[in-house]
Amino acid sequence: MSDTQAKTARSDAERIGSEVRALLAPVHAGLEALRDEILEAFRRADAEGRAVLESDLVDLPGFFAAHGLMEEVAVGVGFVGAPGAVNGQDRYILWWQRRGDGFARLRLNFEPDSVDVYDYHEMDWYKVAAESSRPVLYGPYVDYSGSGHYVFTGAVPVRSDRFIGIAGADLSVTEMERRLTGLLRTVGLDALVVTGERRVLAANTPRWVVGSKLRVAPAPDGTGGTAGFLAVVPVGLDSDWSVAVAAPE
Amino acid sequence: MANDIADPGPLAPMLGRSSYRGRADEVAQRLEEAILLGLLGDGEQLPTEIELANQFGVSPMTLREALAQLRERRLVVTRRGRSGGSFVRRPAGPDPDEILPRLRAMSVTQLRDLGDEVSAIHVHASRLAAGRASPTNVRRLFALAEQLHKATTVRDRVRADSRFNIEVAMAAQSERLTRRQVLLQAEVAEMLWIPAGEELSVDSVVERHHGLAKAIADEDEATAASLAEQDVALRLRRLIRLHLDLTEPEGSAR
Repeated sequence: MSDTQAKTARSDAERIGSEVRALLAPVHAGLEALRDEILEAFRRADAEGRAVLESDLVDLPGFFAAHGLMEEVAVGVGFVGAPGAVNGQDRYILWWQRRGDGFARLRLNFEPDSVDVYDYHEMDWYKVAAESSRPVLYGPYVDYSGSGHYVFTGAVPVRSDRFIGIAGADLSVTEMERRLTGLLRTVGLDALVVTGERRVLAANTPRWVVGSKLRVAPAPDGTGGTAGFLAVVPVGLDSDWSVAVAAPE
Repeated sequence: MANDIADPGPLAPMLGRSSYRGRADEVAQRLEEAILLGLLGDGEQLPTEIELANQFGVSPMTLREALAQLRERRLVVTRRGRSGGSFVRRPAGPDPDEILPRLRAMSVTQLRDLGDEVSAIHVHASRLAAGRASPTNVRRLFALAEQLHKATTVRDRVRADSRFNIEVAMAAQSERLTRRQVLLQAEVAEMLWIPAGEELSVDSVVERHHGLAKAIADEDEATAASLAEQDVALRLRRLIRLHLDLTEPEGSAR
């Protein structure tokens, strides 16, 4: 390894890191705006001394504005209620999926004693957002019993004096990968974007297979060996992603 | 409750890729998957024919043909009148009158071939899952094994068992393997759990599910693949045994 190569790797990783952050910024902004609208709807209902109903939420412009901000990356945007938050229901979900030129509501099976029940209270993207009250970007995962796609789910908690639910979005892995690969292509060395669970999201080389997990979390080992990385930069902004750059094999 | 949600577009998750457009049997298949996966609950009313046709991007004629297929498979009932419409009818459990003749009619070669296909999907999905599963996948695998353990009806066993196998494919992070596994489970899960012949031991299946879940959790690809292979082989054995019993001529030596 030459010092020049290490320096190049470092600056490439930092540049790509900030570009990936810029890619995620609209997701973050769209969900925060939606969260504020949902909070406002709950404040209004609280002020009127009544429970929140579906009619308070169903047409909030934030759902569709968030879709617009994320263009084709977003396959669905919605609100997932904490128990009892809406209509007094134990489980409540209002999720708008892109469908051609318009949007369609997602319906899930909430029969509580069904083996197939879609129990989002147990899902990581919900639990982390509910328990830690910080936004998360979860995935990728095959959401076969939910939206039916291979997706990431971004979730921003909605909280007033109590936890109300999460504003969330499903992001297409395919579309995200396309954008990430586009960014990584500008790097001369071997580069990839990897999640906190060591899963490869995109790479500019077939050396790492997208969707599989690295054996160990990438860390610059400073040896310049072919297995090691020259630079690793966290992306931040709700994600546990990193950009890692290695010398070509 | 799903039924409390007034919903203009409930079937969006099942619509999938646009290449599915235009064919009655494909529409029927998508709806069947949705019913078998539980995305559409028992007794749930389907949207009107016009709405459904719009959502699937097919003509009302094609949609009616798809519904007719589902009625034939007894997955949907259509009622006339003011409170009429088409309603989901989840099978109560494996129906021996339907399954035993099917098992009798198949040859051992055909059964083995079915086993080969299940093996190709499940064993490889298990291997990949060991390298790719997320902590959530792992938790769900253990939970589904536990659900199978606690299931009290044959129907619930079929559901928990097939959901476990589908979750393995999901853990492999593969939409395609997941889809194949859903279709295979629709074909084989009920046959496996049919209460006939030598009972399938729930405990031993649960034990094997636990073993596979653990191998996946340990990221042990070789063990995961080998356990999955053993599991498929044991299931195939049961089906061949059942088939031989069903086709045994009077007075044969065995």
